[in-house]
Amino acid sequence: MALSVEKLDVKGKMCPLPVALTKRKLAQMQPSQLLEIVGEGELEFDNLQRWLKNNNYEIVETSKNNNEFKILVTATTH
Amino acid sequence: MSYRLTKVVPVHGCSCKLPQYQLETLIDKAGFTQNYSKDVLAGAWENSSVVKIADNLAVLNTLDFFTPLVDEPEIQGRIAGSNVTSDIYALGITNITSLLTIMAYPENMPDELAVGMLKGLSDFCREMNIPLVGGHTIRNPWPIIGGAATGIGNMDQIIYTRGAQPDDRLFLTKPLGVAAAMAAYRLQKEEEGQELLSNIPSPIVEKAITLAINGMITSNKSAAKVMQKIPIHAATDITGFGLKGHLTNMAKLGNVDIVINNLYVIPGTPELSELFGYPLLTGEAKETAGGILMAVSKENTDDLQNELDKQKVPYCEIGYTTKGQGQVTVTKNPKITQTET
Repeated sequence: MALSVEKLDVKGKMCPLPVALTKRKLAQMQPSQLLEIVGEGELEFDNLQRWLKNNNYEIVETSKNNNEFKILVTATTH
Repeated sequence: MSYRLTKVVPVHGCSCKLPQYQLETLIDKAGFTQNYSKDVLAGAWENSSVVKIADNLAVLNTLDFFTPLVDEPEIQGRIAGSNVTSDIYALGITNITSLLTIMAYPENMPDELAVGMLKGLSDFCREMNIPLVGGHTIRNPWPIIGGAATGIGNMDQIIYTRGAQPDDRLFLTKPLGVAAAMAAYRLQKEEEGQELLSNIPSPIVEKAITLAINGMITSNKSAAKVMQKIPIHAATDITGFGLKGHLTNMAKLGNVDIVINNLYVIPGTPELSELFGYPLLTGEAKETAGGILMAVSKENTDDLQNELDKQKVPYCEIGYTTKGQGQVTVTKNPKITQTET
């Protein structure tokens, strides 16, 4: 069964909103769900990945297109 | 004023500092720590360089600049002054002989903001009796303010990051949590930020911001005066690498392990850090213009505390050293000590 994917757009949001909104969103989701975060900026991309890893979230996939990035992450920690 | 200093940069204060691991790689690749003469008493991994210029006399140099943390230019200038000079005070030297400014700003930034930043830095220097003797200003997409400071001191009075010994006690002179407090400061000015902050009572947020700014503009000179009177083994200021980063440096250089069992924080910043996902309670949050961390033998802790009290320097004992090889551990569920002033 395909996992349901929630989306979060943090484009143009100042630090620490990208991480803070991701944290809040993940806490509201079911462990079986995936979250797709769309954002922009190298620093935000690094910050988000670091926070997700430090908090034991499994990053399924990342992609970058110029300044924009996508991170697909499971809503459960391991 | 519509132009906001903190709005035009993606990173603020010492958070714009290159991460420690990245800096280590750059320095290793460039090889610039090699081939010092014996007169170079401290180089890249101390807060200031220390070079012997005569018998028992050394000159100290440091350079520090960063992006704005606040929108009020004069406060930003004062924070920059406090931060630059701290790198010399951290070695226990109080005689800063001169300071040069470094400033950069974009073409669309109103000149009065640049004037304000310079005024704040200049006022700080005047109050600390440090001659501000020149500087350099360029165009740059990000506003930047800071400076290069020169100090002079007797070699036997200089206290290095490297001198920690097993069974030392660790004292910190300013509470942690600046990054979270200043993030709240920025978020208060944004609709979405206000919504996020609504989880925390506003008097708590306001107090955290006020204490963080007051801490940053407070000079570490009084702490340096204390260091001249007490036999401190090692010291460093706590800034962009965070508590754990700076202590890892101290632990490695001193061949000790460090245990942090008490986190000294600005009230409200643990809650704000939890909200923002900042690693304050693991000792990894970045600080700006932070306090001085001193390692002192157990026998001298009473004298140190008496002297800190005499100089009206707030402080907290936050941990200790053991025999080891450079590991830093924050205990599980450390005590949290919140400052009130």
